[in-house]
Amino acid sequence: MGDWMTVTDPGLSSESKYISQYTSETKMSPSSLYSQQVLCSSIPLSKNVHSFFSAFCTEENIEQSISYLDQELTTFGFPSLYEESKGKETKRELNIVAVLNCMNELLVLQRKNLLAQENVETQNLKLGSDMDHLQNCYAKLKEQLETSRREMIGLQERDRQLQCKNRNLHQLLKNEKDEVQKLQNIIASRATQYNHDMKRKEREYNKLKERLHQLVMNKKDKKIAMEVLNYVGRADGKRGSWRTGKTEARNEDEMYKILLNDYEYRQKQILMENAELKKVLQQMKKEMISLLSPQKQKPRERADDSTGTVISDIEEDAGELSRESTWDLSCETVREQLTNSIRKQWRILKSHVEKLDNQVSKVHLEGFNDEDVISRQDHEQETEKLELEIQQCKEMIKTQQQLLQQLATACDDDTTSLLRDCYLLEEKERLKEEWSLFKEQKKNFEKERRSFTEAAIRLGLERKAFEEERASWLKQQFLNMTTFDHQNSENVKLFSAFSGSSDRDNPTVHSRPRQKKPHGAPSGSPVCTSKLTKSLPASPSTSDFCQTRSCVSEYSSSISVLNTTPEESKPNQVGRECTNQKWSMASRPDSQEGCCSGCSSTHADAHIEKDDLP
Amino acid sequence: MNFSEVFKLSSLLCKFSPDGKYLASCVQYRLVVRDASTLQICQLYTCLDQIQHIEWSADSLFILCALYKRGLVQVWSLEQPEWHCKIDEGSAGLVASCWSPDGRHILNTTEFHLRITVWSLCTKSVSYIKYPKACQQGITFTRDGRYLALAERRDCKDYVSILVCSDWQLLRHFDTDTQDLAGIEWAPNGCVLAAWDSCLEYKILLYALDGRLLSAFCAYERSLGIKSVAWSPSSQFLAVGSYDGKVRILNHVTWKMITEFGHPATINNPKIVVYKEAEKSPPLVLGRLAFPPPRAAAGPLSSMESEYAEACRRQSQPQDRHRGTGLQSRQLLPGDEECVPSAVWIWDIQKLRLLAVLEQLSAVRCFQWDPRQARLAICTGGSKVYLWSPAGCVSVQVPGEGGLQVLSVCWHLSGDSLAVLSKDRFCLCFLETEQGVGTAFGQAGDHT
Repeated sequence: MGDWMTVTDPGLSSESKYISQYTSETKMSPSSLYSQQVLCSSIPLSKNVHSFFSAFCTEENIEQSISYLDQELTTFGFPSLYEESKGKETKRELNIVAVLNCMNELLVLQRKNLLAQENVETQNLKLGSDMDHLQNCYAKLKEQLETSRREMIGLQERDRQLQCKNRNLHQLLKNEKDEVQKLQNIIASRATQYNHDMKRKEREYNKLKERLHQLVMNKKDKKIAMEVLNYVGRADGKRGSWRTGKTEARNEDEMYKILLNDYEYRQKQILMENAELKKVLQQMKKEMISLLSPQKQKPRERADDSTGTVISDIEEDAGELSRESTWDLSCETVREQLTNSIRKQWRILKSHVEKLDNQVSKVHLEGFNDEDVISRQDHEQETEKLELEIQQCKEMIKTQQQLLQQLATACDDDTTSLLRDCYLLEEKERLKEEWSLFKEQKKNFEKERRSFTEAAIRLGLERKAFEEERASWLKQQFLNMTTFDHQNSENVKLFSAFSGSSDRDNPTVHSRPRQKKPHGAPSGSPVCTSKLTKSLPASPSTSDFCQTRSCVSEYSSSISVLNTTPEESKPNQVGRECTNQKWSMASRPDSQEGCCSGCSSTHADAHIEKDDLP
Repeated sequence: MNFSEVFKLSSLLCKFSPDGKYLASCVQYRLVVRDASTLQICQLYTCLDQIQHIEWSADSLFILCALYKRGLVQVWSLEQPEWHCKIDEGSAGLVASCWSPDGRHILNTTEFHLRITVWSLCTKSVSYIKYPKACQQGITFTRDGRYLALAERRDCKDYVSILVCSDWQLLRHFDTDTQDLAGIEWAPNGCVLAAWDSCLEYKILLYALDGRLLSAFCAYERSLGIKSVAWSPSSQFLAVGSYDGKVRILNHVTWKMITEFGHPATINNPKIVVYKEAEKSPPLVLGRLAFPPPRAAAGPLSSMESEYAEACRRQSQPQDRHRGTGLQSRQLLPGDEECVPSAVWIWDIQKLRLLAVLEQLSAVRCFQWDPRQARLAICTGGSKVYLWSPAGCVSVQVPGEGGLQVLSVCWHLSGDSLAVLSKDRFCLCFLETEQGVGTAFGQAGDHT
């Protein structure tokens, strides 16, 4: 390696230096000379022997050597050393230029060869080291192979052992399973035996008991007795009754009574629960309607077809709301209607909320509006300011109090009494005012009460008249019917009952808008109009029919009121609307509260989580 | 909280009368009746031998003293001190004695459960009930005192007899589908009877008053079963505690399980309050330490094994394990896990979740609900009484020279006072009026 390095070092230097070194080497270093000689000596032996004693060229054999050289050179493809002979006789003359050229070329060749030799040598070295390296690698790999082979053998051995073990374990498992099976069988047999034994023992025990019983009880044991000073009365004060069949029957009766009472109680409870749930549903529905109705216009403007159909439902539902009597019916149609409508509305609400959510998220994406959101710094500044203000106010109050105290101490008793009198007078006046206000209110109340009683009386009269009318009408109908033959009578009765009512109701329904207009139009309640549109359709389904009927009957009654006291219906409706509004009003704080509580709860949670941290 | 002076007592026999006016206590063979508020002695009766059991009649007019060793029952009247009654069961022996709900009959169970003798104080008549079953809870009266349900065993089969208490007539007699009936209990409304099998099998059967089988419930098979059963005061729920360390709540409509409460070793829910008793160096301070919820309950795990023996011993009185509360409004259910006998678990039935865990230093001996409000009194055999309410938890040192080793507690009807019983002494603990208590608990709660 070291040699190789020294050899490569000059190679790294510049070309000229390299060459010069070689030239100097060829000239000066004896080793190189020797090597050259050695190289030369590799040429034919005869010459070698010949040149061993004498130099190649001497004074005598210049010509020969030249010719020899020429020959040699020409055989190597160099141009001849002699000039081109123009004639055969003329002695060929040595061409010095050619000789020089040849020499130069030879030198160049020599240099090239040397270079090549160097290269080959370095390459050789390189290859040698590579070889060493590879051999090392090979040895290592061989070792590795050996170890891995050994390992493999070990693993195989282990695998075999494990398999053996596994087989053993399997065998053991099998044995255990058999054992378990056996034990289970034993347990089962033991259990049966135990049960059997138990039964036997128990029988024996019973026999013994019986025996003991006989021995102890039937011996007329004198000791078994009760000493009482005197018998006390029963707790209920009654005397004991004889045991008869009657008492047995009474006991049974009582038992069933208790059971019945229990069932009734439970039924009542369930009914109550049902009613409450219904109420909740109803409220939910109302709230939903009130929530959804303001959005009525918006979707319409957007011409959203999905909500368009729904809006009509809402209107319907709004109409249904007035018929609260239907809620008490627990028939299936009503229930279905209720659940369906609520489901529908719930879906609308859900979609709406989702829409809102989307909008909110959009807004979020757009980024916060700086106007809407107060930055925290501002908030803190504001709070600081407010706190400062509070401090100032407190100080002010304190100074005022001090001043007042000073004043009070400074003032003599007269002034204080005067002041007190002043206060008293003021209070008196205020009280008087209040008194008058109260009186007025009382008067108003009285008036209202009177009007109410009057209205009630009138209503009663009306009702009576109506009842009479109906009775007479029914009577007439009945009389009419009796004239028909027996088969048709029932159908006719039913039919007439329906037709009669519809006949009678329809005019009222039609008349209602007419009557309503002056009152309804100014109030402009959408609820009322929807009601009317709902009741108008000509072919309602059975349930609808029922509803319309109930609706109509309600109207008719209200109409009767209308006829007599047209003013009163208006406050009624207004009142209803008011309740609706109240509802919505009431619902809002609720929701806010819910929100607040939610916030607080989350806050509390956060607090708790904070506590969790060490 | 005020304590009365300490009185003598033997075999933990101290009972308030059902009307709350009197307090009866036993000292060896003497029965002392005191006024419940002033604690002045009203009556003093002397029995023939050491009293082993006392019971007030439902109308608070009579007291029954059972002397099992002699097979004797002595009855005393509060109104007429000179009136006396002695029932001798003779060679048949006596193992249990109790009043009928009307307070005019005494039911005596003879040895070997040969029969139950019904003695009347009104007439000379004596009734016998044969074949009573010797089990955990074989006799149960309805709350209104109208019916008696009795577990029977005939021909290796379990039966239940329902008798009318007014004339001891048999109303219904039916066999139960059980291997070995362990107990029966009426629902507080007196319409449903719960019957459960012995611990070898998990099985609970529900019968109507007329003997119809309403439902059967089995949570699991092939393992130790029911340990204790308790009705809620509203009869709406039935709590069933079992050997798998869980309490199952059944509802009264479908008789199916509503929920299942386990006893987790660690509690991670921050809403659950864990109270852990800790000893303070000055022991006279009203020591109470409540740790904020999480990670506090890791302790019992290590002590589990050592306490297990204790738990096994306590299985003999398993009714104390899980007991429904006496409150309609806020229904709580405490359970006492056998693996951790020093802990009391309280669940909220309204929210169906664990509410609090009380971890005491030593094993809980007895706990009882305040009959009026959500308040639980607990004793652990030490010199302190612990009171828990949703507002907080307090421990009170019971005064008395040498310290009173509190083994049992007993509430007065009104919930105003509490009898604190030790092996040989007892005293009364008067609690403040509700407002005072409220503030006291409030202050206690501030510590958390």
